[in-house]
Amino acid sequence: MKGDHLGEFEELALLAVRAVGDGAYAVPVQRYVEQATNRTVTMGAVYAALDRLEAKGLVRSAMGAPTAERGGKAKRLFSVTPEGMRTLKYLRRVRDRIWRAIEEGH
Amino acid sequence: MRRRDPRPPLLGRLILRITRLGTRRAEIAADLEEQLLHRRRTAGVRRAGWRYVRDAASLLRPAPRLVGRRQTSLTSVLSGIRRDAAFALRLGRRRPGVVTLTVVGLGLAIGVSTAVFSLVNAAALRSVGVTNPESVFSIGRLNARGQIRSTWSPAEWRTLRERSATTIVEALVPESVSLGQLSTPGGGESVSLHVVSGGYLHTFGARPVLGRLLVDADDEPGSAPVAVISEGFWRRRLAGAPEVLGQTVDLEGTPATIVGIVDRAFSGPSWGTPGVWVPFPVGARIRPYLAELPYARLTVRVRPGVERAAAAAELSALAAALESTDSAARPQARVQLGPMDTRSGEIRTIGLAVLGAVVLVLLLATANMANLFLASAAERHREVAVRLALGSGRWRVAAQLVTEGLTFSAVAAAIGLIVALWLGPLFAELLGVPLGVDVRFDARVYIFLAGATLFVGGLAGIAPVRYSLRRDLASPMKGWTPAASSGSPRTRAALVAIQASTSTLLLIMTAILARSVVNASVVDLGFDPERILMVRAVPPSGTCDDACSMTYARLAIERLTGLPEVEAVGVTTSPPMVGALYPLIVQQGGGQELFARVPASADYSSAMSLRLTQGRFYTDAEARSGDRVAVVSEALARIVWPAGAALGQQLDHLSDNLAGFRVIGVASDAANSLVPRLRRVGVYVPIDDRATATFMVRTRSDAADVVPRAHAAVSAIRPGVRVTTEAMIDVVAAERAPVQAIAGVASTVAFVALGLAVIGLYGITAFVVGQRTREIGVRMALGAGGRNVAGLFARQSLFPVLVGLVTGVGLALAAGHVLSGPILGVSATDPASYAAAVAVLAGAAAAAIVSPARRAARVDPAAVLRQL
Repeated sequence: MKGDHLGEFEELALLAVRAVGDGAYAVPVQRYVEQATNRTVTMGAVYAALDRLEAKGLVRSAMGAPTAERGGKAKRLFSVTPEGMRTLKYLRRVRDRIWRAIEEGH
Repeated sequence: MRRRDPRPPLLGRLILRITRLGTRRAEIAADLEEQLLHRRRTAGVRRAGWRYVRDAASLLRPAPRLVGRRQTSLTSVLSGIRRDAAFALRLGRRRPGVVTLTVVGLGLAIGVSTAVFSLVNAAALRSVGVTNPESVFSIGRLNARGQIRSTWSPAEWRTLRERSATTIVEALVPESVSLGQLSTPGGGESVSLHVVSGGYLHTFGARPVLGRLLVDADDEPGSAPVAVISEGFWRRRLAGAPEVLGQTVDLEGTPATIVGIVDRAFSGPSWGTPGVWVPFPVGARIRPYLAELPYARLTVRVRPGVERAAAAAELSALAAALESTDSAARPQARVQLGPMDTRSGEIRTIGLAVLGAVVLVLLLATANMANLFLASAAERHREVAVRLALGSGRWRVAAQLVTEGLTFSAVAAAIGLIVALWLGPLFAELLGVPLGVDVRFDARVYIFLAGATLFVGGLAGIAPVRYSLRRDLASPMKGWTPAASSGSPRTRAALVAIQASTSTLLLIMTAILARSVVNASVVDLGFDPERILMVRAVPPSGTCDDACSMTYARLAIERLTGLPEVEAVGVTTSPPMVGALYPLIVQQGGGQELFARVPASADYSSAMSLRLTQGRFYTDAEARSGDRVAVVSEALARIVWPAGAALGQQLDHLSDNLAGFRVIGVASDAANSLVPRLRRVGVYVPIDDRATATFMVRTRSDAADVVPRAHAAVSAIRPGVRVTTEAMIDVVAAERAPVQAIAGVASTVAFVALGLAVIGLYGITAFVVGQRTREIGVRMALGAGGRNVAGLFARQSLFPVLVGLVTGVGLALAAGHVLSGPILGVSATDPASYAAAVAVLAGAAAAAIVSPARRAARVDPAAVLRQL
């Protein structure tokens, strides 16, 4: 565990949940991260990351209503919590300020 | 090739199956399948399959985090167990009666088993208690007549010990002394005493718990009188107090200072574990003849690296040298190295038989617990179904059931431990376990207790698992009571049958033993043991020839008769209970009757106050001249000459030993032995007086009061002769004691078994009635009467009992020979015992069934129908 800090993959997964928006579950999240980063992502890694995010209170999940598209089998839907959004924005702000420092020199 | 709903690759499915996904299995499987279909379209079938396998494999590693929030740390497992245990106890409160009975019954069973095991462990299972027993041998010498003599004089021992280079020679004389009142409790009690050479304890590996062992210096004449006691004696009689070191123990008037306590692991190479060891100088003060006469048994430890044959050769040469300095030179004398006496196989056999009974009792208790759990599983099918439906894992539910079993058996084990701690010493006293043996519980006993607890609890907990975890979750939720679910009624019937057969077996065994106890105490001995004294005087072998023996005997009779309290003195080589047994088997009808032939002097008849119903007893003159006359007993006469014409008959056809003997009288019956079975005297034949015989002394008053005077009178005749004097009443009591003790222990075991069986039967019948309430209601609504219903249940419940009874009787018949040792005058197939045991069990079974069957008859059909 990395405590309350986000790992790189966790951050990507959290961003993906937000990016997929409504109806985000493990499958679209995996595809999003895979396509965005152009690297192979296993389902196991996705589940683990989502579980960790949920344990940290950054996403929440609920079993969705069964839909016809995959034979009526339920899926676990994720959404980013306000705390998750705050964390994402904070990370982005920190990175932006670091980049600005790099670009402006000294 | 068109594939409809193509399945994921086999490898991926396998991986997925062995992965622990808990409640999220369905969701994850659906996700993976969706990915598979999508990738087949975008990346091709092979690639999609490969990714599926990778995804499945990726689930393997992070599995623990995947299963919801559950943690599998040790603490969480422990807290799970604690929750299950607490739940089990709450359930217990719901059915307090049956649960209490079962748990207490189980506690008793575990307690009795552990107590019995502790004794078997102490008496038969502990190791021989000598370090490196393979190099320890007893030594005996062959004399000119080819007989082995195993005893040596102290002088011979000293010579062998000094000269032997290949072995260390140690000496031992087993004795029994009574403890004086001096400063030790338990005064007057008899304790076994080993008089040993100073190096004995050290050579065979004894270690002191406190103080020191005996040493060579203790052998020196004039050394301070010391004694070493066994840990068993110390703990059982001296309360394990360390202050006993330095105290004085009074050994029949000879004081000795206790200088050490020997660890209980040491028993010595032979002759059991004594209470006290003393060196020879002390022994010679207690028993003066030990200083000179050859009573010592020698045990050698062959030195490392020496062959047994070489040691035997050296000792033979040394022994031959000893012999040649004797007056009677026997050049062919040769020493044999025999294996040391280990514990007799008989004790081991009895111990194992007892353990067998104990295992049966534990099985009974297990069956009871299993019953209880089957019953509660049936009542709780709804609860279990709800748990499963809510996503509880099957393993979780199974674990809970097993934990419940273990919880109850742990409570029972606590009860059992208390019972065992109380019963163990009680059984030890009852069974006369020698004082030297430490019967305290050792690690093995606690392991047994723990093992029994796990066994019973685990097995009982597992019993309902299959039943509880049926796939069908819907029916119980709708309020359906599962009708005869697969296997379960058969399991229960089998359990009942096992219980019934086990308790029948144990009850029959007990009934047989109880009958032999009764026989032993009511059997007519044919003489009055309270007024008979037995005096035996054994001169050391080889020191008294026939003439000397005859003279000695006449002197002894003279001295004894001279005592004012003595009425008559008879002589026999076959005194009741303890003498040599000369069997005489008389064919009677198809069977045979066991008698004894008793060689006795003319005065034996008056000493034992035999009544002559016909003819007369032989006279002293007839006995001395060797006339072939005999007196038969009434019992024998009745069988051999039913017409009553015994007088004048020849006895040639009865036995070769009786060739030429003529009956001159018929005497009243008298017992010759009680154990293993009553054996009466069949015929008395004359012997002349001789010292190797036993003097039967008839006293005018209580024989016990005459013991000291008789002892003194005979001891004074010649020093060095071992004289033992016993009141007949004590001999008879000692003869009866083992049977009584075994029967006492056996009946404790059997009654626990019976109780367990009754509890079990009650539990099962109550359970079946509870389970079939609906059916009963429907039957009654359709017109069945209460009596019909009660009868139906009684019949159905009793059938497995019947099967069990028959099996139990069969087992008892098969096992009968195990008992033939302790049985007294009762056949191992004694019909009365069988009938009594079967009746008791059938009665108990019926009683157990009555109340549930009546409850079945009181079911309200209207109430049941409303629920439909």
